[in-house]
Amino acid sequence: MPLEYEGSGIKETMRCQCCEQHKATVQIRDVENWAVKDVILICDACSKLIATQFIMPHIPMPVTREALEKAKEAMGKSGVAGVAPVGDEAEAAPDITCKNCGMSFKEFQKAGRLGCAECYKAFNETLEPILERIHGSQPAQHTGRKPGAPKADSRASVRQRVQTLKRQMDAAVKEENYERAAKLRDEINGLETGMKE
Amino acid sequence: MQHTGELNLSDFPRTCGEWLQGRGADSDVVISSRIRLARNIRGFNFPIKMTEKQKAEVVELVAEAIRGRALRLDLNSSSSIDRALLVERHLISKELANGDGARSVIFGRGEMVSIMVNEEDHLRIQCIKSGFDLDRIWARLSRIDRLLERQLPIAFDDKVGYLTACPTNVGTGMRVSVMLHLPCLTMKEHIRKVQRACDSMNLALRGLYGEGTQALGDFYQISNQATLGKSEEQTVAAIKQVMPVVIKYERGMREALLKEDKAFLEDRVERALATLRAARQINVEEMMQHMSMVRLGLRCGLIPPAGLGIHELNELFLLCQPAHLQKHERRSLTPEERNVLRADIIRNRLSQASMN
Repeated sequence: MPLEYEGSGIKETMRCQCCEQHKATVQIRDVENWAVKDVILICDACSKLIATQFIMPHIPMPVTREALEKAKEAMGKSGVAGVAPVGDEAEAAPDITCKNCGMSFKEFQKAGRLGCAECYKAFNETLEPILERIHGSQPAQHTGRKPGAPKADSRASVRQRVQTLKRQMDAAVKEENYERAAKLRDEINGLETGMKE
Repeated sequence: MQHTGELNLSDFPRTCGEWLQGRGADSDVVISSRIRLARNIRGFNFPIKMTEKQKAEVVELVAEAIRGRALRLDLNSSSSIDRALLVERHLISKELANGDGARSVIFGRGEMVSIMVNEEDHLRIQCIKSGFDLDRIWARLSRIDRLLERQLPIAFDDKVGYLTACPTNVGTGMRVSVMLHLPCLTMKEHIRKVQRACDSMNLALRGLYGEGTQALGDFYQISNQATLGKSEEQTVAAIKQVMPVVIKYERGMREALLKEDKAFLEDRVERALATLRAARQINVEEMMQHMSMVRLGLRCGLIPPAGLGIHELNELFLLCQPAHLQKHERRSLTPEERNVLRADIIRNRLSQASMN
């Protein structure tokens, strides 16, 4: 369900359909088969509440009346309805970059894809509410199967062992512990020869 | 790069995979069932952040892990027609076909199991079968997943499960989808009710070619949306719960139409068949519309199945797709040339069928 997100074309007198208090500033169009199925008008505060939906423009998330009702219900419970509009800060993306692959959160927003497994940790705080919303699961907790460990002699396992040893060897060279570095080099050579066979 | 098994794509235009055989449970409504798993190998970035060398290394690692068990094709070195051919056979996705860098597909001879390497994730493992048979598909896929795990370290987190490039797949990494033929529900405009039933169960209803596409030829897909918070078995169970309702709904509508307005149904079916028999040029969309009606006619017993069964119809449908036509002719064809050739093949097959 492709979503269109627009901020214009709203009359002064229109009220937010979510909190029914503030002036509507955001228009959400629910589009199906290229035809507008539903138009929902909400205010800044409420758009912040369901902001996780706007963070990921590439991932279609249902912003239907049903979703709106749910947001309303949640607001009623937590009493957020009275919160004043917050302006532009709701839109700002967090300035975080994954140290492992170098992907920034902005880049992720644009691509809709993460760069590596570590991104899940790096973006955890922002990602968690998104995951809860996409999967309708609270908390976001995996309950399915888990992978077993690969065999110690599998090519992938040996490859990983080599990488670890290489890191240790570099560290040994830095510490000028050449005896240890030589031992590690021999071990690496042994493993690499085995891999080629 | 070597192929794991002998592979001759030139044979493809004469055969079709198991999923188009028209066999299996509830095959009057369900075309095929499919499950896919998204997996990534620990220690490598996801494809979007990989160097060309790393991509080649992953292709190599996976080939090593599956050694000797299946056919392998490197997409980097294959022609665009061959890649389109694999897309039409549902062995690879459009995304993998149009991607760049080292990437491959590994599949079994029956074309039921295929593994895409370096698509959005390092591994996309799928099993597809004709009819409605999710249990057997999951049993098979589960075994393959376990086999791969013994060879490759898989990226996994205790909280969010299998780690995937797109957060919509994280958790089980599992997408279960069933392809349905719903001509009578479409005719009577009852699809909205199916849509609502799917919405309420957090399932997606889509056209044949996925998100945002029209339901071409009355074909639809139902699939799970959520991959986090539910186990694999629960995910399969959710689809198994809604499917009999949809199947019964379509069957009921067919029976009611046959009883109350047989002339209308017969008219639609016979006109479709006549068009396919007479057309001198036809595009894929029009072919699919008419084939949908012929399929319905065969299933409702309105057309005598003289030499033309569901299997033959499915085969014809596949062989008339653009890449299959071009592979058959061994050259690239313009859309106009394809429309003429497509009409010729259909006319030939149908006249053969009526003589038998």
